Amino acid sequence: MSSAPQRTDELAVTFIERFVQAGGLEIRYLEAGQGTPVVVLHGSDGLTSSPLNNLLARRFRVIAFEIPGFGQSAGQERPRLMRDLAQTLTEAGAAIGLERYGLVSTTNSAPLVLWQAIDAPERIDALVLISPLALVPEGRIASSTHDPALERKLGEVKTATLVLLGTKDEVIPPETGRMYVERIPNCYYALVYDAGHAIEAERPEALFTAVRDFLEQRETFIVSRKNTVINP
Amino acid sequence: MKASFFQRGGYSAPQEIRSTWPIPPVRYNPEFGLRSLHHAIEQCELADSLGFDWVSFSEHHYMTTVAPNPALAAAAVAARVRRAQIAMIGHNLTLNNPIRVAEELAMLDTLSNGRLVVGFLRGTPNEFQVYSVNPAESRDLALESMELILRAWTEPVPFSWEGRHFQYRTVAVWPRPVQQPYPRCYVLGGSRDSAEFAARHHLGLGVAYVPFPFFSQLVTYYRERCVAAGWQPTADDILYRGAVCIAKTEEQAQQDATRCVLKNLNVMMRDGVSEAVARLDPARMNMAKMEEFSIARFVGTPDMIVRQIRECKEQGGAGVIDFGFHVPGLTHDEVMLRMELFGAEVLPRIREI
Amino acid sequence: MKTSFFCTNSYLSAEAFRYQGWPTPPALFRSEVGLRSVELALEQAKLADELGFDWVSCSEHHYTPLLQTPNANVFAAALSQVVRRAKIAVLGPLVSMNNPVRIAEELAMLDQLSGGRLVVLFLRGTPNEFLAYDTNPDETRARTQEASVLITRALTEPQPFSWEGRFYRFPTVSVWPGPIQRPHPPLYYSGNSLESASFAAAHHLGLGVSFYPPHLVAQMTDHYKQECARHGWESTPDQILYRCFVAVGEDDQEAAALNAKFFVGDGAANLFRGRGAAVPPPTQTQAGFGLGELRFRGGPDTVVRQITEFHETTGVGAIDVAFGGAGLTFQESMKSMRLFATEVLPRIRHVGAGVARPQEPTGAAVSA
Repeated sequence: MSSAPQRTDELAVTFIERFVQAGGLEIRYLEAGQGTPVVVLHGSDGLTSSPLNNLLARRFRVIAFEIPGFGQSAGQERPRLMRDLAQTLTEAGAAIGLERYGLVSTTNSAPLVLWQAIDAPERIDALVLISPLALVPEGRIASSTHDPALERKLGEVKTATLVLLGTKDEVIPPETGRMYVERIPNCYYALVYDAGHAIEAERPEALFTAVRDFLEQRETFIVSRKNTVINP
Repeated sequence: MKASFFQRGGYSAPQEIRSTWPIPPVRYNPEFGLRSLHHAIEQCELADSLGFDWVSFSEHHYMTTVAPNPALAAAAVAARVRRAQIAMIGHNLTLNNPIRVAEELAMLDTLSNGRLVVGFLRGTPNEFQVYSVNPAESRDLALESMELILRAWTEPVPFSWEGRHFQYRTVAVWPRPVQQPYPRCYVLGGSRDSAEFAARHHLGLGVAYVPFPFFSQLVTYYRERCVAAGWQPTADDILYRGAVCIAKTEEQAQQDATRCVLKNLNVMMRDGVSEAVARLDPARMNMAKMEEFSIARFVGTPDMIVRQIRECKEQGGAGVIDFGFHVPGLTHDEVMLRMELFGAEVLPRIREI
Repeated sequence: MKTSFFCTNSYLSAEAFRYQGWPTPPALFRSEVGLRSVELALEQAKLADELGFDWVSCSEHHYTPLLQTPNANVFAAALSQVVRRAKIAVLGPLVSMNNPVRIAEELAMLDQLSGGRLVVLFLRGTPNEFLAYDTNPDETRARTQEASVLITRALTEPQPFSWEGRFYRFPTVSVWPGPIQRPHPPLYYSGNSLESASFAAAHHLGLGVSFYPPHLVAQMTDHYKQECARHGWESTPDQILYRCFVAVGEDDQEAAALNAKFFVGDGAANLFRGRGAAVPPPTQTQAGFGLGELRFRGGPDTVVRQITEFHETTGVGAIDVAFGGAGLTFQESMKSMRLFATEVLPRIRHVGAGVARPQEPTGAAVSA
């Protein structure tokens, strides 16, 4: 190891609040950064300040949608089906002018990104699912976001996909990662050591490293590019 | 009570070597080295025929031992010793790539026909100088390493590991251990986090060299953590490692025991000892005291040793004891005689303990 | 001509090989097959020893049922106890991606365990291997070189020393035990390129070439010999090692039938699929690299002729032979091996042995 890892500098990035019309709804979003666009969907905590998004915005153009039904977008009548809601978000991306983007989900927004990859694969460069709640391990009770129709169609996801789970996750056992690998053709599964369900809160730099590398390199993120020369 | 023979892999030379660390390679005599390995294998074969349940191996570098990677000694012995379990107690986790450790142990399980037992050793501060590991990182490194090894043995599909000390984007160990899900494992160490890790992962606890009262304290803590994790350990889950000085008379045994002090072992044997000593007597923890610390816990005539083994069970609940017969200065033949005495007059009497 | 039997320790069930790509999911490992494979591998090694092969070899590979030896030195330790006469050849450890001091320690132990019969080839590895321990492929050539020099030093320096390398720093290197063979066991460097051949020559290491057809091998060996001369020494024939696949039939026809199915199931090509495809092959690999080719095949007379001609063209004096492609059954590869041992081996021993050599370790002392 050459140098000590840097602590997250959470103050560095300012996200701008914007709005876009899609699917008959007004969708709020936060945007920061330049370069390759990456759409990030929040989890059940709603659209909050995010160490991961701060880090990502130094490298990518980050668009963080507020999912209809959450926060300030709570009042509107949103589609009942996950698939339709996913469609709305795809339209929102198009309305902003995005053509191809990386797509990141957190916990229960996983079904939304998976549906987007199934229905609009030409728009999605790579998928990253952080602590996903799309598949239910055996013996567990399905959550309200569980979508059996999605489960049947996972084989159609052609996009390179990375699933990340913390080894101390007590909401979903980290072994669930294998289920994604078994169902999604081009899927990778990473364990983040010593992190619980909220990986971002506990090990944001480790999470950022993996997510960044996968968004930039997709399948070849497994090839080390580290310069380990100690002295020339 | 199960008995394990700890094959330390000593270097058999006509004269004891005393040296500061490290011993210059030029002092290594290949003929003696060859003999040392033959002796090691002979001792393991004897242990097997006497009825020891396990033969065990441990990692040491740059000193008068001949097994810097004990997995090689274990592989060779597994081909020669057909009955006893092959116990790797073990790789020094702070010096090793955990994926490679997982791979080597899986290979050993196949090479030994499923007889592997694993002890996870953190290693001691002086050993860290071997590959230049920062001692301050060793605890976290060892904990992460153990967790990664367990995962590497059990994940059915390739996965990535984003750790603090290790990052691997493709892990898919082959062969796997033949014992499913993996061989019996013990976490070695005299510290609370060793006991906690063992409890959390339903692994056994191993303690080396410390006096029995301290052993007892550690085991009590371990049992509490196990209950909190929802399970009860049995005697088989508790391992004690200690040196044996057995003789026909007590005086002879005591003479042997006075030589079993750390400084005579060229300073390297410290699994948990420094922590143990500090806990027992923090005010007096200094180098001189540690050098005089004796690893001989079973000392005396066969009768006395049987009693001490009983104490080890009563105080700490040990179900397996890993016996080291390596008294500095003993010849190979002297070691074999002591093993035979132990095999004849101690082993048969400790089965029912 | 020295002949080495490559003990592949392959997993003996077709199920695992149906999976396309590398790595194979560990879920496909069955304990009873794993046990049986290693048992048979050691029996094969013992048989090779009895049949007269000069060396029995193994090699480091990760995450594959094709060759179940992620630490070849551990497997070699087991071999040392069942193979009593032939040399124990580790061809080799992947020095591009491991701790070189640890490799040196293991090699010294192996020389002890085998009573001074160790032979070593320093390998860089095929691209998929770099993924196993997250090694940067672009660094592997330089790492392989630095590691080879460090391992050689660690096996020969009489006093503790420090190492200030590009990729490795060790404040204290003081390996114990040391090797039995002095100054060190025979060492080879894997050279499938002119540059590697130059490196081997400069460091007084033997040359190991794999799988290429004769004319390309000859280019490398000619270059190696020139470079050796330039550095003031001459290699012996058995310091030039060639690794290859072989099938011997009772006659040419039977061998042709073996050839047709030798690599069915893709075998080694599978290592370059799946994640294995993520890393491009090294730029030095030439077109015509024959990983999937059966170099020597035919009835015994034919194979004797092929090997003799091969030596004449290339100067190779040691061959490391694999008899099993994934398409052959265990019995078929064993039959081929026996035919080779009884009908071919005795007739190729003299090939390349123009000058009588005393029994001394090949590989001169390392120069600074």
